[in-house]
Amino acid sequence: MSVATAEFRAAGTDLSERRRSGVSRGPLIDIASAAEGGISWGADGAATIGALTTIADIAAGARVAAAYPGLAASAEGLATPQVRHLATLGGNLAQRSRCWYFRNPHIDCLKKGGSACPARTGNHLYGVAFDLGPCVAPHPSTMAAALLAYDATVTTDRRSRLSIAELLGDGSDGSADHALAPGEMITKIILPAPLAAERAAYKRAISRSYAEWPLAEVCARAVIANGTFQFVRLAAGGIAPVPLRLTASEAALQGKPANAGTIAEAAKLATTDAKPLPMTAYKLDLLEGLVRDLLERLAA
Amino acid sequence: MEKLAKRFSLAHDKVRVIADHVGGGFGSKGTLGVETIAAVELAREAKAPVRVVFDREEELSITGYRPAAEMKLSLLPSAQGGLKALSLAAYADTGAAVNSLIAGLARLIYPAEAKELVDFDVVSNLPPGAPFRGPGGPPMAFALEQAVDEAALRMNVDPIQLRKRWDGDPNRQRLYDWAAGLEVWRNRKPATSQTGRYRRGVGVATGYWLYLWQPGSSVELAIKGGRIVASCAVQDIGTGTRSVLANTVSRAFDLEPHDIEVHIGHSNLPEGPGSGGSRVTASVVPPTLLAIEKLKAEITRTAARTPLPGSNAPWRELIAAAPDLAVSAKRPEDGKPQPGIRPALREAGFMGLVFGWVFRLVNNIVVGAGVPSSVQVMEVEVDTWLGHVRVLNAYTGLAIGKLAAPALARSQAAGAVIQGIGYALYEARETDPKTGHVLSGSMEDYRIPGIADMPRLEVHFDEAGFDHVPGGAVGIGEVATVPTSPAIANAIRNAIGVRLTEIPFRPDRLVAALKGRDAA
Repeated sequence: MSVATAEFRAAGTDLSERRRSGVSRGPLIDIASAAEGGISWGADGAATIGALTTIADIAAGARVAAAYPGLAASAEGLATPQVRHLATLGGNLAQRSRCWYFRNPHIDCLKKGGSACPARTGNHLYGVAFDLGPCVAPHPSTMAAALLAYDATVTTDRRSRLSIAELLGDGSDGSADHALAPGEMITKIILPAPLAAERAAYKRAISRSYAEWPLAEVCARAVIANGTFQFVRLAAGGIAPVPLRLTASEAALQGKPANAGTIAEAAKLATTDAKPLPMTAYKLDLLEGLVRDLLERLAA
Repeated sequence: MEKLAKRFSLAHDKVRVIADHVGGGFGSKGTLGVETIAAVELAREAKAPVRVVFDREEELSITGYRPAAEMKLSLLPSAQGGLKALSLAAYADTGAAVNSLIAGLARLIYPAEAKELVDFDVVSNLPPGAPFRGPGGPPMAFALEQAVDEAALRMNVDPIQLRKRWDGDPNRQRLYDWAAGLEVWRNRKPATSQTGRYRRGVGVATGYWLYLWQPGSSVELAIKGGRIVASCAVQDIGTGTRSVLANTVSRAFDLEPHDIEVHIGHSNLPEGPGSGGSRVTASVVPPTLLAIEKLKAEITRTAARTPLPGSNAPWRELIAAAPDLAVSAKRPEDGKPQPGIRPALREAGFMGLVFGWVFRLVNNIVVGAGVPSSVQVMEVEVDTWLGHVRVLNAYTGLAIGKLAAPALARSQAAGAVIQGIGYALYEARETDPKTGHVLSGSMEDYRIPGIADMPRLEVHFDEAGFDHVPGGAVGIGEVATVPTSPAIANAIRNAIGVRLTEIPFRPDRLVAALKGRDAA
């Protein structure tokens, strides 16, 4: 068995389904005891989260919720209580695509060694609205978008302090869900200390109330002082092959009064540079609605 | 059993079907599937038992589904405000199957001077569609009940009052009065009066199903070792057939349902009805009542001594002391219905009469008098920013006669609304347009409602209208789910001023409709 072709298994919440369907067939390496769990805190208030820390622990930790409310809310908002209880932060970052075509064992696709993306010309109802590469599946990691909003870095057993963009790439490689080398393992995630008086929130647009992969999701952070936005950070998932910063909206709010009018205008800019597919234009409406919802909550 | 005997040219006593518990029984269990035939042939070749098991992807791909349908409908009110004409054409995406009946069901409700109803099957290489809870009913109601709602809006008439005018069925007339009296209905706001992010609306819709029963259905009641045993070759598809039998018998003897031993699910028991078309309750309760009378007479006749005067459980004592014995009874014909109570097929005139006779002769199913009916009122909230629809309050009114097992009837009524909410808001079988591969082949990708998606739910039973049926009870399974999707659609129309004509009402369709854009 070669480490290079083996897949890691942390909690296995994603992997077990792919094993059962036959999409994953190669050797496995169980890392349940090989990598770190738990959260440690620096003197400056910055957190380092072990890759095997469960999503439930991130969602439930009082100190996480106080320092990084957007991260805690993102953790609370994903999957189901059963999955959150088992699933790990590292596993969430390294999970595979949720694309129908990728998950179907009878269909070839770019992520399974195929030469074309069948969803692009097929049914891509849940595909990207920012078409950045050959594969049209959005990145499935909710935590990646939250970590992007917090400028977190990721350390592996070979490299230290990769940005989320370095970890997941820019979406141009349709064959992979992340830019880790074969056999490379995430060990910890490091967050910078939170800003003074910052607020954060998270929301996903879905059809049901809970337990659904996001059609679009946003993690928003802001510092508001004297009624104006001093700092705004918006990261969105569910809309592109990688989580995206909504920089046009961020820039439009910088130094502007925190009221419904500026928020509505800035929310419209969330879709700047969007390239929707024939079936995904709706995601742009949802993205605008999410940004507006979150900023109004932060400004309230 | 008969289908297997026929398919393999065997005498009836050479086939035994055992189906103690049938799960997911709505649809796909009434026919002899390819897989069952293959299993029988393999078993005969191998001279060994063969078991067929579907994994989830197979189950969601090939074992039958409610076919999607595209419907075109127009209706014409008369100058006096009546219904003059109705046309409905339905094109059902049946895959490798035929015989969908959607438009035809509009024959039996809202009489008009002229109706043009046409059903088409669009046959393809996709897996075959199958009958699914109220086959044809929910899609028919989805189109027709939205059209009636739209007519009411354009005629500036209250939608319940318009239905009262256009639909003379006595069961539904009473349900309309119940619905019109609901506070949520009386307090609803006029359409398009709201502008905020969250908008609430209230909608109404109606539905019906045929009252069916199966001649020849027989129930045996026996005393074995001092206990009552009820037997019938019927099956429980999760809807409570055992409880219907146990309740009916235990009530007659002042016993508890668990005192009765119920034997069903075996083909060597006395002939029972198929569990399709909501026919089981109306087929098994009447012979059970007859058998109860026979059993009482038999117990009294054979009793060694009568219970002491003042005994608080005379039947319990008699049954405990009775020798082993058995009686049985066959489903009797119904009594004469009250004036105005007619079989649903009468709406189709002379042809309906003929169809009813042919149906009885060929399929051994009777379409009885009185129409099981359902009227539902739904209150929804729409988040116009995120395209999210939530059903806040659901009111389901049902006229299905007396309740043979009240707790189960309530659970069926609630379950039907839940399934209707799934149909309206979440469920969709997604396929690849090029290959036909089913893409939603897991419970992750095929969405059904979760507990947080459930409304507050109020069930109203109107128990009149079936006094001519021995026991007064008819089926509930299908009728209870028919009007949910159009009631939700009409509520959305009331909330946001836009009519959605494609289910499920997902966020992509909501935001597109709000922007006047075509959804994907």
